[in-house]
Parts: sequence; structure tokens; C-alpha cells
Amino acid sequence: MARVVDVPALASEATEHRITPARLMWLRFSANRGALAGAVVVALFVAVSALAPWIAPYDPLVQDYGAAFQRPSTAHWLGTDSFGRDMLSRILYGARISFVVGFASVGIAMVIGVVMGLAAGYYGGLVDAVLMRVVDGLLSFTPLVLAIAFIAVLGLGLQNVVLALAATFAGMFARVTRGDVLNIKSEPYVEAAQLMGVRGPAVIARHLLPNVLSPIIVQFGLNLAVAILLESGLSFLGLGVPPPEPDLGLMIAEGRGFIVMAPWISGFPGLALVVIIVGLNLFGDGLRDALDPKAQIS
Amino acid sequence: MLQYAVNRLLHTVVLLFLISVFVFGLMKLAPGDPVTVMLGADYNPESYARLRHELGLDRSVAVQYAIWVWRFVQGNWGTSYISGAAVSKLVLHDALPVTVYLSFWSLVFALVIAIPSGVVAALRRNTWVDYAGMGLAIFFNSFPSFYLGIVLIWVFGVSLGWFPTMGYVSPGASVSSSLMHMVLPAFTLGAWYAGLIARITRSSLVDVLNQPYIKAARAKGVEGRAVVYKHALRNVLIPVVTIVGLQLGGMLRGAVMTETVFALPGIGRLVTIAVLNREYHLVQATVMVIAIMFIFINLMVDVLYRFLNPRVREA
Repeated sequence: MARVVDVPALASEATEHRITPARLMWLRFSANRGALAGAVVVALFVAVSALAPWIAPYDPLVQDYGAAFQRPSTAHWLGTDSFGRDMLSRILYGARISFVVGFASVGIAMVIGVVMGLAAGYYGGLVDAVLMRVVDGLLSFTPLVLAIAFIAVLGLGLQNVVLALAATFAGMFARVTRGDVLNIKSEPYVEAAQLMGVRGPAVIARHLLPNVLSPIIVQFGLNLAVAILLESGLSFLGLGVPPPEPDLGLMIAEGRGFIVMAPWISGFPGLALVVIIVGLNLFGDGLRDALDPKAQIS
Repeated sequence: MLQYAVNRLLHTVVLLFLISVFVFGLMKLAPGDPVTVMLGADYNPESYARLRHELGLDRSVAVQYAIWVWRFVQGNWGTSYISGAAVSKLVLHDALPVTVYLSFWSLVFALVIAIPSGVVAALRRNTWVDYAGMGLAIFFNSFPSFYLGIVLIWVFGVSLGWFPTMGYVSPGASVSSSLMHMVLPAFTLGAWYAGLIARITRSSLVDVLNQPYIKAARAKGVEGRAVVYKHALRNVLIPVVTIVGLQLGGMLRGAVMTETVFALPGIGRLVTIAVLNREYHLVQATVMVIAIMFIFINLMVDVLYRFLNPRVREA
């Protein structure tokens, strides 16, 4: 007579003696000092920019010509710009725009790209061929040029920058997801689910998605810095967020003309941007090393 | 190898087709009616219908695409509304050489700085030299090129007055002035690239130095320097060439920014101005040229990679 095996009990017994994947990831991540420092810097910037409406000393848009071109002082910690606007307040609000655009565009790209990648990898055949050729097309542009092409069609503005960047990044998510789906599609547990009659979408949601999640999170982390850099770059070129919004790239562009008499107008927003990007890069690299140790070797 | 070359070429053709469909489709979606814009003050219903017919805009989308591709292949890219010059001349004759010139000096600068730094960092692994070098590399890697450019203009252009800060002088007009005008832009564009190459060089050399054949060479009594130069560096070249090639596209991104900061009339500046002026066919042509360059650079890198790395060649 066959023995009855209590599968859930066995599974929980196994996990009790094992380090959970999340704990392992945290151990690897926290052992990396650079990654921790990056995470702290990013968290700090996210916090102060989220709190900007409450902690910013001035309204970032209010112009005060009497106070134009003031050096950093106790009244204006980081000085004022050519319109007499407080630089510190504008940088706090500017970082807010950077993070909103970064998270929104990479987030949208992730959703679209992952759905495309899952469908292409799981269904194969014509679906795969069509979707992946679209991705090939998207990825054969360099990201800034692709974003510029989208902006040419969509026009300027915050929303359009988010959409353009989302379209730019979606292809990368699709390719990464598809590759991993192909690797695990023939695993016994996936085939077992299929044989038991589980439908495609359910197999994808229950068995494939959870197993391809970590490289997707890694991509998210790495692309955030690129998205923020591209956003500020577009705004610097005049193709992103239009004035008078307090965008970091725009502020750097606006200060260019006054670099000799008032270097702080370009200087401080640029410095803020560099610190954010360095922090995100360190964080993203740490995330990759913690979640995807194989990627480190290759 | 031949089979591979044929496959890769076919893949390139497919990519070119996809890109052309994409650029064509994108510009079809662009707001505004090009015919109205082109006619300007000459607008009346008859001239409108005539021009529409001449441009093939009354035909089906597939035919319009075919006409557009045919004209593109022939180099008939239209004229700029603003300057009145042929788009093909603006892109290929005026702008492209500036971008290539800038990219060339940036690449030279990056390689000259990065490879020795990477080698030194790898040989003095985990010393302060290594940490300082790699810290600097990560720093430059994270520095937005447009910001670095402004900082350089401020320090070396305005404060110290060593280099000109704006504009392009063709090497045909004056070699020395041309080079002087390139110093700050090439540094700006090359810095990001140098950071990347230095990191790759270091990590590849560290990997290679741990390989058994290096230990064997050392055991045989080959001197320290000779091991590095004869045995190790050759193998380090493979990943470096790959990254240099793959990231040339990234250089193009930097070029758009750098050209704007230093007012260089290159292809990046051209596409930016075209978008701002809503000159869609100029955007179309520039984006196509950049994408085609990107694809062919990748193709070349792929082939070169196989040539350098016999292991991949066999596979």
C-alpha cells in the first residue's frame, strides 16, 4: 500500500532548517558596503524629495527679482537663480521629478516588457517571433535617440517623457524575461502543471513569473539610474520637462549662461544628480550581486 | 564561420527593415500635416491636392512606405524647411563628420587613460592605487556628460583660459585650432567611457592572472612583466574590445549631450534642433542614420570578437 505523504508538512519542515531566499539575499546585500551606502543615499534623497512640500524653505516657482543671483547664505543655503528662486527648494522638488519619472517609466516598462517576455517565452512560435522582432527593433536604437524619436512624436512634457522612456526600456525587460522563461519552461514542475491541465495564463502566473522575478528586479534597479540620467538629459536638451518646472537637467541648462558669475546655479543641481546616480548605481550593482550571483561572473 | 556571417547578415537585414518600419510609423503618427507645413503661404486646395499626390500621400500606407524607403535608399531625403538645404547634405556632409571626429578623439583619450589605469589597478589589487583608480572610474561613470562638460568649461575654459569652450573648427581649416577645440569635448565624452573601460580592463586582468596558464608561465620562470604583457594582456583584449564596441552606442548618446554643451554642429545637435523645430523628415533621416550606424558597429564588433576569440569561432 502506498504511503500517504503530507507534502505541505514536509515543505515547511524543509524550510525551517534552511535560510529563506529573501534572507540569503539580504545577507549578501548587507555584506556589500558600497551597496548599503548607495541604498542609504537613495533612501535619503527619496525621503527629502517626498517631503519637499513640507521641508522646502521656499516655493520653487516663486520669482523674486530682488533676490536674484544670491550666493549661498543662511537665508538661501544653496543660493538663488537668475529669477531669485531658492535653489535648495528647487533641487528638492527637482529630485522629486527625477524619482517620479524614474520609477514611473521603469515601472511601466517593466509591466509591458515582462508581459511581452512571458508571452513570447511561453507560447513560442509566431507570438515569440513577432514580439521579439519588435523588441529587436526597439533595442537596435541607442536609448537616448529612441527617446528623442518618441518625444518628436509625442511632444514635450512630463507625461511624454515617462512614456518615451517606458517605451525605451520595455524591450530590455522583455528580452531578459523571455530568456529566463525559455530556461525554466522545460522544468518538471512546469510540465507537470501543464499535464495536469492548468491553463497557460495560470501556469505563467503561478509557476513562471515567481521564478523569473529576481533578474527582473535586478533590471529595475540598474535601469532606474539610466532613466533618471536620460530624463535629466532630455530636459537639459530642452526636450523634456518644460520650464519653469524645477527639473535638475533643466536647472543645469539654465545655469550655463551664468557659470562665471553664479556657478552654483548649475553646480548644485548637477551635484545632486551625480550623488543620486552614484547612489543608484551602487545600489543597483549590489542588488544584482545579491539576487543574481551568476551575473557577477559573466 | 561562413554560415555565421550569412546568418548575421540576414539578421541585420531584418533589423534594418524593422527600424525603417518603426521610424516611418513613428513619423506617420507625428502631429501636424507635413503638406500644409511645406506649402506654407502657398496653401490652396488645388496646390494641397497636387503636393499630396506628388508625395504619394494619397496612396495606401504600404505604398507610402515603399516610396519612402526607395527615396531614402537613393539619398533623396527632402529639404529642410528652415535652412532650405538638402537633408542628406545636412546629415551626411555637415553633421556626421563632426560627430565621428569627436567620437574618434574621445575614444583615443578613453583608451589611452583607461587601459593603463586598469592594468595598474589590477596589478596593485586591493592597494590604495586600486581603490583610488576604481573610485574615480565609478565616479566618472556616474557623471552626466552634460554636467561634466559645464564643469570643465568653468574650470579649464573660463577660469584658467587654457582651451576654447565653444564651437567646431574643421581640421582642414587649422589642425592646431581644431585639436584645441576638441580637448574639452573629447574629455567630456571620453570620461564616461574611460571609467567603463578601466573597470573592465581591471576585472578581466584580475581574472586572467588567476588562470592556470599564467601560474604555469610563472612557474616556468617567465619574469613578472613578460607574463603580464605576453600572456595576460592578449586575453584581456577580448572583453575590452567587446565592451568598447558594444558601448559605442552609448558614446552616441553622450555625443548628443556633448555637442549641445560645446555647441558642436554634429548629428546629435542636429537631431535635437530638428525635434525642437518639428522638422520631422530631418528627425526621420537623422534617427535612421544613427540607427544604421549603431547596427553596423555592432555587426563589426561581433565579427571582430569572433576573429579575436578562437573559442567562439569554433562554437
